[in-house]
Amino acid sequence: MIQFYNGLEPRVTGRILMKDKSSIKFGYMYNNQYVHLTSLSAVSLPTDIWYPSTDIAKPQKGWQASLGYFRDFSEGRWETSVEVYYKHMNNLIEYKQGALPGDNVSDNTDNLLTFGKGWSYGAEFFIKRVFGKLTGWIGYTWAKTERYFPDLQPDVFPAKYDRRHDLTVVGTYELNPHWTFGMSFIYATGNTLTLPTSWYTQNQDLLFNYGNRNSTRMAPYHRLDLSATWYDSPTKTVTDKTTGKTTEVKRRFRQNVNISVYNIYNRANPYFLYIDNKGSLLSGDFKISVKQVSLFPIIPSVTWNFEF
Amino acid sequence: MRRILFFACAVLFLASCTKEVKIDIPGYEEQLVIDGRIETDQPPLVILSKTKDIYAPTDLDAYLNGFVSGAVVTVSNGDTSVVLDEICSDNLPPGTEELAAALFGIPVNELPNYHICAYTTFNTAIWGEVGKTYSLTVQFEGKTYTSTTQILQPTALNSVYWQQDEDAPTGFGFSWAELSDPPGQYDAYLWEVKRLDIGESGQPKDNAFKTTFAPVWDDEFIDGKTFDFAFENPLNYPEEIPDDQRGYYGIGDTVVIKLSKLDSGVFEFLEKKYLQLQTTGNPFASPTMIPTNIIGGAQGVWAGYSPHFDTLICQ
Repeated sequence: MIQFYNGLEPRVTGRILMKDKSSIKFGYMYNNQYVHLTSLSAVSLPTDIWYPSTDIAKPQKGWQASLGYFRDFSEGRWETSVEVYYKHMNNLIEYKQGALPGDNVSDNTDNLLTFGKGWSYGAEFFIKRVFGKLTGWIGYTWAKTERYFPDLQPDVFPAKYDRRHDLTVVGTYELNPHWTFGMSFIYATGNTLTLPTSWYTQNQDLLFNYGNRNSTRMAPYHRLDLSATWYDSPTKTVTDKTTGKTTEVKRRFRQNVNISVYNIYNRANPYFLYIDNKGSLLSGDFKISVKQVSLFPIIPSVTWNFEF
Repeated sequence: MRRILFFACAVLFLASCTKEVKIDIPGYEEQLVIDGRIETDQPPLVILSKTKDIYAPTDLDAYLNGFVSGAVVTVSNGDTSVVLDEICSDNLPPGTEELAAALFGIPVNELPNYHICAYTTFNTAIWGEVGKTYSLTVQFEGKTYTSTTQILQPTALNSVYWQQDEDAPTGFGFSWAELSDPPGQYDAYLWEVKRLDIGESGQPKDNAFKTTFAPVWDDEFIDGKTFDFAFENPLNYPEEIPDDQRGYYGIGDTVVIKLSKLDSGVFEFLEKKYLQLQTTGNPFASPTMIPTNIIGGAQGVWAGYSPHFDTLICQ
């Protein structure tokens, strides 16, 4: 065993019911996390490694406080809420400059890491319609997440997943017992990353001058998904051959067909960006460009479900 | 880890698309770039240019016109202070054309077409001497930039030798050396090589020293120790040779090894420089910022080199 850690995790939650079908909820919690997620600046790939605590990498410690006001309208037909939160985290880890996660063959991964702290705060707004043919909800979050790692840079910088705006709209429309239509729309501020702001040459080598950590932001992520589902009738008519009498009986075998389209307007959402430099400065074919890699274009699908 | 990377790459290749984008990259600020060096028994040499926006033109003209002139560059060793001469490609002193062409990386006949300037001096009183500290002052466009560097006592390799590598074809291997790091002091090293082999033109194959992928190290973990180490052959990568011979020296190769001592500021610049050269564009690597030992807001380095030379005959 390299190192033994333990810690208390006190938490308090409460709810105050109000007379007018509203309530106030609050909470406080203190947590220890004994594994760390180490992320590279540019990508969200399996190179985001869950890394255990060691004698060098101390467990993450964080506390979070939240306060929310919840209220139903129109006899529970509409549910709404507003919540604010603040979270503080210590012993966070990041890769050092130039670290390659796979470069631990002859080295201790601890030596690729640097340590710091962070904090996150924001407000969440939520409204939900739970009656009628059209149901659904809208959620919006305004948030700010920052990091402070003095070994990386003297200033506070935004976290990789700092997401200022996050909007989700989900709706379902039940046209009739056979047809239901659904949609969901997601909008999120793009992730941050560190890209070079300028280039220069030294001894005929091309070098990049990077800006502040995570100072560049990818384009926003948004997409619209649509779906239509056909349900068979829950009952079927059975005719008694001797009496000729018909009765409605519940089907034991049910089926529905769902047709959906993911990312219907084929948005090329950024997955990661990288600097591409090709050619040679002295041959005249040199070019620097920023390349964006996107995943998951428009994807239609058909699903045939059976229940029995 | 390899499985994970393979999985990640497979997902990317199967389902991704890549396109060029032009997103806002905040923080660009045009800065002077100082590329200066001084070496034992050599004159100081300074080249000035400016940083370029990441979206700036990158053709040959833009690159060559990016060098700047009109600066006042002064080098001092504590006893002597000399204002360096501005020598430009379109007005070179006779006999320096080949040197200038190698310095700027363009053919001799192209030199008059550009106004690329370097700062140096023929005053040997300011040429590099072991044990001295050299301060640099650059005055340009109303700003003053300063730096200092040292030419340290060189450290000689105990021996150099060639050794057959077990993964290489017969007759091919790495260059090996034994080094005794001086104890109780900071030491940093730069490894460079140059072939003496004669090419088809009848001239030596290389007219300049070349570095490997990670040619600098310091003695953080080896202070006072004696150890053997190997370096690959960086000289044959661009050549048309079989893949299984690349990175190796063959029996019969003759190579000059230049092991230079560096001060800490120069080491930190070069260490991060070569790290960045290896990792730029790699989405699996975090970015590398290159520090500078220039004070005043410029990029680049003022580097003192204290070399020791050896010749390795691969046999």
